[in-house]
Amino acid sequence: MNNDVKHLENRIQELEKENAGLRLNPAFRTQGATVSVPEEMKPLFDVAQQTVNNYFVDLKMEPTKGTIEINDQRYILIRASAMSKDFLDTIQNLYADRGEAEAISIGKNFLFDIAHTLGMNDAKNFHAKMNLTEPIAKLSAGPVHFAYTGWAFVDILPESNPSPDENFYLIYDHPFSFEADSWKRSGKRSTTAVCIMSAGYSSGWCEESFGIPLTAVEVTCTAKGDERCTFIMSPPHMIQGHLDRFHLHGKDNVQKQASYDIPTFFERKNIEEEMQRSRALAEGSAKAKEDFVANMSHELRTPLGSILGFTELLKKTDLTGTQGEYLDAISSSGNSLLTIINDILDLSKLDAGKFALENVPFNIPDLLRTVQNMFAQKAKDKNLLLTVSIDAALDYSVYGDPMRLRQILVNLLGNAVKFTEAGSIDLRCTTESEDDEEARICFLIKDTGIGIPADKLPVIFERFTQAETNITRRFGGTGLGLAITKQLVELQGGEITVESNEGSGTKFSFSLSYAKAPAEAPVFKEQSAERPEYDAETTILVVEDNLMNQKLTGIILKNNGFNFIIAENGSEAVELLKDNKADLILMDIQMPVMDGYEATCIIRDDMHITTPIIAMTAHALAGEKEKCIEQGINDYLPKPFSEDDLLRKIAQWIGKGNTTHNAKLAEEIKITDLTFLKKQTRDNADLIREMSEMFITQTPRNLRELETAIGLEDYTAVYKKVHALRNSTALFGLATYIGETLLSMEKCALSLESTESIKTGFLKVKEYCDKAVTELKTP
Amino acid sequence: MPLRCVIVEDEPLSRQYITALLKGMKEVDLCGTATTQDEAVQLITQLQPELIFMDLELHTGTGFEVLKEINSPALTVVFTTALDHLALKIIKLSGMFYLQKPLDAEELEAIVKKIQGSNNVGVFQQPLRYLLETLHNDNMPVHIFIPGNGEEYVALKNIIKIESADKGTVLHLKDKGIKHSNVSLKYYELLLTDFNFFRVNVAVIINLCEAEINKISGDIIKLADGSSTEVSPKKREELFIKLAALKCT
Repeated sequence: MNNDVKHLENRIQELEKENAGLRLNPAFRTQGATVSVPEEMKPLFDVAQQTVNNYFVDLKMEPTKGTIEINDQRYILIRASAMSKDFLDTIQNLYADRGEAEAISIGKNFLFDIAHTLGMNDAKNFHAKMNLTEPIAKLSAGPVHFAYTGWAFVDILPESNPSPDENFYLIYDHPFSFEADSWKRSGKRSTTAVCIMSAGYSSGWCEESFGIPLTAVEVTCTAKGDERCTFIMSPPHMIQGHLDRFHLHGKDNVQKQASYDIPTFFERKNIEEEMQRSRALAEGSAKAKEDFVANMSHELRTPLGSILGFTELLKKTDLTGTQGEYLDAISSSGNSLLTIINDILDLSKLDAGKFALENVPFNIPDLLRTVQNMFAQKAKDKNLLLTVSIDAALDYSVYGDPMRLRQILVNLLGNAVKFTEAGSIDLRCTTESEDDEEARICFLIKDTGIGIPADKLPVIFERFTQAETNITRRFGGTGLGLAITKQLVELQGGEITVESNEGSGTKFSFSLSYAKAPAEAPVFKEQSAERPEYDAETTILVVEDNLMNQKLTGIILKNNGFNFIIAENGSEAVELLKDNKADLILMDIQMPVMDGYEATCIIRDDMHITTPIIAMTAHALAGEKEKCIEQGINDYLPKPFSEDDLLRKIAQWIGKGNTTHNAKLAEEIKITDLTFLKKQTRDNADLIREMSEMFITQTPRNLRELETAIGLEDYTAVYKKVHALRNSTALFGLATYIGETLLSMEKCALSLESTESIKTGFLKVKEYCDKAVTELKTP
Repeated sequence: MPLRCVIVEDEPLSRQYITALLKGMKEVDLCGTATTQDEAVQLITQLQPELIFMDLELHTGTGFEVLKEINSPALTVVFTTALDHLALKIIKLSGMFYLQKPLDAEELEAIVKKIQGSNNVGVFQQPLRYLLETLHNDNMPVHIFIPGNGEEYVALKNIIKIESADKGTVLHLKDKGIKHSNVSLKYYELLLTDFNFFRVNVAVIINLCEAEINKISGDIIKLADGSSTEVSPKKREELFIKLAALKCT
């Protein structure tokens, strides 16, 4: 009886104790250790036990307020299996289309990542809250905390070596884990790793504690039918080695196969970092590529220019027949090389989106005929019939980019001539559709050449592709031409198509839309190939650092009777101009000591010299010309240039406004035109004389006032003066030369921008006005 | 009777030129010349000329300012200008006479003869009323001149869309009416683009303030008369820019 009473009393006490625990009585204390560890680690874990216990002692649970709080921090309750088994089931349904293995792998990686991050965050938070600073103290709180929060119980095995370096090795069992429990309760046996979150959370906590990357892998699990749940934790790069050793020497030896589910967390992190690095690298390298191409163009084109230039000069000396042949070979190889460099430059411009299209009025039939002339001789040499038929209705000019259209046609016709051994080549141009303002023009190039095999047709527009690899050997070429052609067509809003039958010929066609230009629009004309007229009694300053180019330019100038001075760089040029007068300056842009832009600034702004400056540069990239003109340079001659190119440019600028040196020329080509006034006033000679006199007195004054206004940056005054000049010069036919310049100066002045272009514009206007005044003074 | 006319022109050469041209015409009697805004106001008020040749851009101001200051719609004005900007668009939309510089003697003579030969000068003064209306409305046209047989004015806000037609264009109005005009769609595109109109495709200009437009896709949901129209793909980007800056009153 007493025994029974005693027993019952004991039982009541136990129940009260349990009840107190369940009611979260603060007086309730956990008895004993939650973690089992090797003997030498015990003191450490006793402290950890105490720390964690202190943390969890203050627990509040008030369902009416939806709060669970431990040590003033909010917690939530989640059903254990929802975090593991249920979650994996859901993922498997969601990703059913990927197959079971992949779906499980997705789900597991997800769980591991989340748990790892949770572990790291919880550790960080706990360490801060409990003022833990020692890595080992931080770490040992982990397994205890783990038990308190219901993840698992931990038994650390004696083989463990928790050193804060790459030798970190932890082998431990979970006598209980919520994940294994979830599986066992479901009555199913898992075939793959089960305690994924536990592994993730533990390794996260330890990683945060020691500050070294760690991962953990479940090697055996009761939910898989093993005797216990065992885990190995180590730095990710060491884990495979530990697993192999475990497999070989493991005393349990239950694991039949050596493949474990190693979380790919770290791999993915590495891949992401790698991707970020490559992205940064790619961005950098695009810029580097652009710079490289620009530099390469300079480096390649400069010596190539010398080679071609000297070859041309050499051709003019007395040669034996053989020497002539050799020279022709040098010149033709050099020109092919130049074409290749130009192709690569074009592509790099297209890639960089820097290919600026012009929009100028031009005449398509004229352009087609020029292109026809280009190929007439080549076709004749091969006995081919080259015909060009143009829609007769195409009797108007259009707005567009004539140079690009020309480039496309030259590429396609060049190919046609190259790949046709006999028969004919047709270039046909028809109107596809048109209205009052626009016309869509179709261009068709048809040959009777070798054709393209059907299986190669889809790839011919790709870079470095030719229909057959032996084409390059037979016909040469880089395989860039069609790629560029296609991009050029597309850039202008068209599409290029090809039809071909092997052995019987090829047909390329594309159509482009053009806005119709009014009949009075001044039409772009290609520069005539005829030798230009020029006055050689002139001194030209050549500013150039490259010795070969100095010599080459010098010889061309000397052969054509020009006087010339050479300056090694911009600063020498500036010095030379202090004592010498030049009628024209040929200015290299890239030079040591002082480059061409800087020199131009000094010449224009400090020395007030208005001598025309022509830039010579191998920087053939888009925008270079505009940059030159902005800097006060009058014109631009891309390197390498031929003798004709140079002479044409010189002729273009000598005599334009340089009246003192060119009175003869000035007389020959008058810029003033009295036709308008004569017609309007019914040839009232007295009136025209009066008006001319007024122009002669008024214009220099207007120019002076304008110059002052520009100097004072008084843009209202600049606008009014320019506007007045535009009105008065138009009466004398000067609008053809400076109308556009004056109009753009007005616009600049109104918008208070590009003072440089106002200054450059002024120089041009002054040159023309001075010349006009001189002309009107000498009837 | 020759028309009593004055010239407002500040640039000496241009002044000498137009003076010479007018002196050669028996239809006009040149009775004064002004070179500044103030001089012009004084001269016109004092002489009450029947015809004024007004330079648009004076050193001291603009021809618009002269007219605003006088603020009388009972004048016949011919603008002379070397510009093709907003001011010229306003002039064209008001239906005023204008001559492009440098002046063409034949065009000048044609205008002079037209005015001198007419019995009703009031017709030529009418546009000034609408120009002044525009100038007083912050340069935003209220009524615009519709070139065509009717030669009439339509309130800009009343226009929903303008369409290409067989001969010229058709204006669709909010009050369900339509107006025929004998100028091309391009004419309206050039003049009205600054005033919230936009050419959405080859054949149609719409009044953006009277259209419901999907600002994401650029599709026109509907116009004020319930109709709709296609937006050409190449116009979309421009349309988005216009819509972003659109201010309707």
